[in-house]
Amino acid sequence: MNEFGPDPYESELRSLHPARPHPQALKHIRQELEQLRSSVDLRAKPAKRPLPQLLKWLLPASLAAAACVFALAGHEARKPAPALATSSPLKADHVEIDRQWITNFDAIANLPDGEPVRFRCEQWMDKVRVRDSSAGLVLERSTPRLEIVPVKLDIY
Amino acid sequence: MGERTTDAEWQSWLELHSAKFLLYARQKARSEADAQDLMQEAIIEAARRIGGDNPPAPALVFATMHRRAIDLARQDDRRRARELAAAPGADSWFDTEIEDRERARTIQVAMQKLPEIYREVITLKVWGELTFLEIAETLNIPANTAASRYRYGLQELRRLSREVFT
Repeated sequence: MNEFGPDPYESELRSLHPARPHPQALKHIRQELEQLRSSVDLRAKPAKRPLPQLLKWLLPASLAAAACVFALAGHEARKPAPALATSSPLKADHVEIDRQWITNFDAIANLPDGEPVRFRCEQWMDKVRVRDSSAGLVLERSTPRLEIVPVKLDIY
Repeated sequence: MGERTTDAEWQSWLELHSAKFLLYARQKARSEADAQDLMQEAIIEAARRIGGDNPPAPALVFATMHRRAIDLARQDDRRRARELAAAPGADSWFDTEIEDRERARTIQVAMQKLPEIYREVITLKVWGELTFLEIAETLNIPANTAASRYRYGLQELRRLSREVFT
């Protein structure tokens, strides 16, 4: 933003000087500024505390904290270790691996270059069955699985 | 952090700027008492905002007055009490020699007739010595708006001054 050049009327206005505030008002402002600066001093005082004075409380505090850490560490060390599970390993005498077809469906999407692509999706359920006849245990786990095969539209 | 301003430096700063602060406060306030309050509180608040150690930039004081003017208008009770205590004739806007007194009076009356949006821009530019960018930041308006208000305001003030004079 360009400032304007000198204008005679503007110069005429500038030749008038704004009236000064009453001396009492200025005195009041100076007093308030003095109070403000005093409050700034009070707030700044803790930051100017000399180092030995800081150490006076920092050292005992550090010692107390260290004592607490050692006490807690000793307490943890005295705790009895949790008993290990006394179990024998599984001896599988029969394992079945199976998969079950659930469903299939097709989905169509566009590649970034706009070419349409068909996805052939097949959903399966994989099953594993483990039997330990001596322990009388049968463990069975089923995991769903989705097979997706992209297929170009023109060859479908 | 810079060195702290001494009492003497604060006093010089007040002597240098307080008159133009008061003139602007008079544009924003509804009475002489309000103007005095507005100026004092704005100076203290602006000084506090920059930490209290050094004088604030004049533009910050003007901006603080602009913002506080609405709040001050709400403090009716205090205003009435101060108005009663205000000295008669304390609302002369300019310090003038005898030969300039009539001209100063003419300008003041014309300024009082000028809409506030022009009056405040003229005050900040002519007597507050702010740039248009500073005026824009103070009043929260675009710099082009500040400049066009100034141009139009000067024309109007000139016309109103002629009316008052004749």
